[in-house]
Amino acid sequence: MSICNQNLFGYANHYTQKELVKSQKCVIFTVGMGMFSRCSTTAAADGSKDSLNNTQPAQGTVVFAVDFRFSSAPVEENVILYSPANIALSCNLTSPSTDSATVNVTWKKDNETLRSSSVTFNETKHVWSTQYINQMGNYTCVFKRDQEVKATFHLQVPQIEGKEHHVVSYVGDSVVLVCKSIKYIPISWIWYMSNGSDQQLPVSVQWNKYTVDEKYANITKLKILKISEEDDRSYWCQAVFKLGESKGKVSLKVLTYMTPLKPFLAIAAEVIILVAIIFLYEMYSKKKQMHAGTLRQLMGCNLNVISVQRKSSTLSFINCWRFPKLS
Amino acid sequence: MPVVHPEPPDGGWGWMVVLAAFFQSALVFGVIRSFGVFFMEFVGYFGELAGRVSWITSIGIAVQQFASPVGSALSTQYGARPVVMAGGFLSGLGLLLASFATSLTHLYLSIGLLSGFGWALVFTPSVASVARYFKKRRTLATGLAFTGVGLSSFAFSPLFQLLVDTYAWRGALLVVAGMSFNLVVCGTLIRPLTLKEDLAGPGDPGASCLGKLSTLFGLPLLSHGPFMRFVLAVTLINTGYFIPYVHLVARARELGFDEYQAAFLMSVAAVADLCGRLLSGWLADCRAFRLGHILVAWTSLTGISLALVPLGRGYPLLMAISVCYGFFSGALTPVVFSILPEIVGIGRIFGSMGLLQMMESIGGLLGAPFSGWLRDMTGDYTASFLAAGAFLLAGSLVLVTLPNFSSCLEISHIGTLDLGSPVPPTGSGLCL
Repeated sequence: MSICNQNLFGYANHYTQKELVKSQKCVIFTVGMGMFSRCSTTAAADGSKDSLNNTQPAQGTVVFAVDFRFSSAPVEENVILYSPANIALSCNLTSPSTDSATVNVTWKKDNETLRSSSVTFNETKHVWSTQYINQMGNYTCVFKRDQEVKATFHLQVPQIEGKEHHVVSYVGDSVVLVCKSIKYIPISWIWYMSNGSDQQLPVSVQWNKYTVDEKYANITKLKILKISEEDDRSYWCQAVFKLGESKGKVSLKVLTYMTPLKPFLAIAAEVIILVAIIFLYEMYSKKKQMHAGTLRQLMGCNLNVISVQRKSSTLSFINCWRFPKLS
Repeated sequence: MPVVHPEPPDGGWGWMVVLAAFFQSALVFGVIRSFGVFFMEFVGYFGELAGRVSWITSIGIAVQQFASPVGSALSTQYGARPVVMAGGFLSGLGLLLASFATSLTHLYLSIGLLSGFGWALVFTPSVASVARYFKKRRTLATGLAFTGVGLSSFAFSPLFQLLVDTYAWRGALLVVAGMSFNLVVCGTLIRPLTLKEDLAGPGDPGASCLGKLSTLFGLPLLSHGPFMRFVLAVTLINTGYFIPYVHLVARARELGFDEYQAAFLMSVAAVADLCGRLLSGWLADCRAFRLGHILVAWTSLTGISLALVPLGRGYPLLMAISVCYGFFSGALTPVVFSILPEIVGIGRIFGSMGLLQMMESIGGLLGAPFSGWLRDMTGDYTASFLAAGAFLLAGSLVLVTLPNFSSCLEISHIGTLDLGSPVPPTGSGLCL
């Protein structure tokens, strides 16, 4: 399969690190048989999704370029690599032509300076690039004159998101913990659980306690049966990719039935108390009415009160008697 | 010996009954509308398809509507208070049993059947009791009672989500069951009221058991011309009424707005709905216009605003139309219930309300699927909303045929029934 040496250029806007996560739009594209994702606020060159099972590095080289000036803020770029590839990282510095002072350039990988043999420097355009990267890490190009500007490329495998919030379940019940990797399909998944002392033990699949459901390759579900208090711990789902692994965390919280029972009993008690109060108030006000009614009857009244026996079909009229007024 | 009131008291303990109806509509419809939170949990826990889980609320709503005549019949016989208390207990019990569920069938039976039946015993008697306690301010009281639905829809969704996050769905259902037991308190507040019209009794004592039963369920009403025309009108209204609840968000997403903008449209319509209910209640009780005219006006305006929805292409215009729809649809709701005693008389309010609920539910059940089918046939929602508007306008046309609509006489001249003749509207304005 011969593919021309395609150089795909991508350009990034400047944004500070805290905006990195929020404003990213990621584009998945392929060169030859490799697959990459580029996250930036402006879309990189167009590409198409390809099949995801490949083991050979791409024929072409992908160049990730950043343009900036001396006055720019530091630039951060996330590059997610799914499979081995030839990557070129390029930093283009534009300085005014009247400026003749020399610019000092260094490339660092995780704060260690790289050897100059893997770095190329083009004076006319101030382009520096590094090629054939097969390791994950943070690569920084630093331009220094009287000020310093830099751009950092974070090369990483796809990250797995666990669940931020606890998953809650009850003693004796069962629960399903889910981990997803939506865009990239891992080779396999491994589950770990915490041991209280920062260690992580692999979860051994036993038919009556733990089951792993892998119906789809990009979703893994760990089902825990017959939960007990000791299952209240953190679980990690590890996705294995060609270039590395990444983990997501899911925490399980185990409650007993007593926990929700308390608010329930409180509300039930409130219901009973209110019903009792309402009935008592009604009996009290009825007594007062009857009291006032008999009092009025004795003292002479103006009202015609017709009392009716509802169950029998005859109506019995009880008129209000008028007593002679006692002087 | 109970005291007989010649007229509904129009106040006093009536306001406590309104409070009871407010909480009752909050706890019945608020819970139903916020059940979507539990929906996701059930799908995840039981590993079932969304369609099968949706049956839980569908069965609950269907049972609540179709069993309404049972609630009415029992209230006619025994009074509203014991029926509502029993209904409250059953609905709480259903949710309590659901918290121990191990399968979807268990949930269908406990939430769908048991709680649904409890809700049926609660809703119609409560609303009918409000109508019995008020005459001059009936629409306002009914409107106030229904504001419970809107307010609880706001509050219960985030509350239920919080409960699920803290206690998982089992514990959350337990707490919601406790909240539903407050319906028993609502029932206790409904003091029995004896009106003059109740004295005639349900038919002559020599009637057969079946005859008595049919009277309890209000079956003689089926031959009552004006009532059946009213039922037809309300069924048509119901067919169009719920379509925006189901499809407005989808229409907004179809036009390209994002999820939050679309959801905000519904929130705005809900707020307008609340204002509409209150304003309509107050306006109707001013007695400046007849209830029949008011109902036709609100229904026609709702129909027109629904028909205008397809014209709303920009966000501000669509928002304005949603506000109009919310306001007018909220305005027509209390009038529908408070006009009923004028048609059938307050002595038969329980039975008529039960029958009305049961038959209008057919409209509600058919409306949304019909609208969805139209959308599938034509490709977008224009036809659906036009159809919804058309249903509402048809309903208002049927309402015009009701008696007392075009007559200029103050006193109703229709020889309707010996049991509780319709109360003629008085001309005094009570706009305080």
